[in-house]
Amino acid sequence: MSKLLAKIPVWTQAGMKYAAPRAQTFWKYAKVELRPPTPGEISQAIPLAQKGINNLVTGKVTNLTVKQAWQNTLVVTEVLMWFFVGEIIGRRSLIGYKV
Amino acid sequence: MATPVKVSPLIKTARYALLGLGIMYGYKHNETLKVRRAKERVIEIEAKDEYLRQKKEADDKARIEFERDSILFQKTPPKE
Repeated sequence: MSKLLAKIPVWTQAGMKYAAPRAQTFWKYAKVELRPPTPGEISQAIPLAQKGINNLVTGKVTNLTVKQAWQNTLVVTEVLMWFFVGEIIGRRSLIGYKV
Repeated sequence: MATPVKVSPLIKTARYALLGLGIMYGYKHNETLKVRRAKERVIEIEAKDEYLRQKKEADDKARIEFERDSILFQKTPPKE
């Protein structure tokens, strides 16, 4: 048992050595891609959204290639999934409402 | 590996706005469900107690009948 306890610092060391470079690469991408929007970016988003709705209404969406349309669908789906992640956080339970 | 992608501001705002909306919706829905379940729980406990009471009544009646008619419980044979 004492040998097992003596192994624990060795394991944590190995774990840190394994995780450190991977955490670094994750942080390198997350800093750019997952950063919340600055207020300047929020103000940029509204005209972009209007342009998008305009494209939808006037029918310029049909000029997209199928590949582009599929990529846009995937992006929209990913953005919508953030709502459900927020719901999980808000109800404080992973699977269902705990009432 | 590849350089990090510069994400469009529309996507960024939409993501975090939906995250915030989701958190608020999850919290609100949780609260409404708690109230609803409390009411349902009262009714369920009442129904369970009612069922157990009726079952006990029926069992007692059956037991008394059985003891009255069965030969195992008589001290003198019943007058038929």
